[in-house]
Amino acid sequence: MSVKTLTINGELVSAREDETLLEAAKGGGVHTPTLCHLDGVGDVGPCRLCLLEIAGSNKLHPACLRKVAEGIEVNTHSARLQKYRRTIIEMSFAEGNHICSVCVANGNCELQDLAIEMGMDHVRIEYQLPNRTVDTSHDHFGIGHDRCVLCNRCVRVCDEIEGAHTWEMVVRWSKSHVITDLNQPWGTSQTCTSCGKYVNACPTGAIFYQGSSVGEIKNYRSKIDF
Amino acid sequence: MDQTTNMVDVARLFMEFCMDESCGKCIPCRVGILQLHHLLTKISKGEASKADLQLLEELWDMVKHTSLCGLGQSAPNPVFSTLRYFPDEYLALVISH
Repeated sequence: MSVKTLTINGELVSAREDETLLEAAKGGGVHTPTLCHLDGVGDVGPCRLCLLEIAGSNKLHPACLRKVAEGIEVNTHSARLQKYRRTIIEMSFAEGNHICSVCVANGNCELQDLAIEMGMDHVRIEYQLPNRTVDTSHDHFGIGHDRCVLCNRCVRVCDEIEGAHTWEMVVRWSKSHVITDLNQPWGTSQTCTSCGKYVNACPTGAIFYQGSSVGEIKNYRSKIDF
Repeated sequence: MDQTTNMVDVARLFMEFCMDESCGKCIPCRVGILQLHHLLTKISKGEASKADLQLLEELWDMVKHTSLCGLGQSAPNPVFSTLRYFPDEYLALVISH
């Protein structure tokens, strides 16, 4: 496995040739904001938060998917990227019904952390106020689609780690949402093993333990990492 | 299209089409195009302010450069080209405070 040397934010960084820019940046001590990335499962890249500028390319590249290359110069935190990231987080908030004060993940939420990191103190775009459902048919868990950011981490965790593939994304556009099995109540699922990995995978309070009150969800990401 | 065509409405119709075609995977396209359509509807009704116009400028740039696929990357084209070549039509509809 050969080593590649590249420049990230002006500093020389070494990385294995099969590493992504996200991993290389982390190795070089640079934190790149992400939402749909979860250590331990494959990357898809839909959140667009980890987009980077590479010198010589006029496109933006997702750090979670782009592999390292010898001699490339990468910028992870230009003013332009920060502006885009902030707008993406604003869009996430406007898209769902995120009311932190009554949410089980209040204080332990990746969306909140990202909003703070991006300096988002207000949302400039119009709230969509969608009509979304809550499914508490399962004995131990529930899913509140209001808080879902469609990162599909639950889908990937269930598919790649548990191997049950209970969750799936359906429908297009803003009506897109996750379903269990053949679009049936979670409690009637034939494939769900009730492993609970999805609670640890979910970045917000969308998937929760039943009986949790405001701010009571704690996510143990390290239980899913390998 | 001829000289009587309302160009803001043309952009709005293109956004309506792109909204329907969006796969819904990435945030910029799923939310961004809907927001562009919403702003254009507001502008055509004469209910938008200069701040809304500024937001429209910021949003088309962001959707174009951060979308995952060609749909999201090309969807804002009607918005920015009508803004570029027909700015008077936009300004005429915007409320000036």
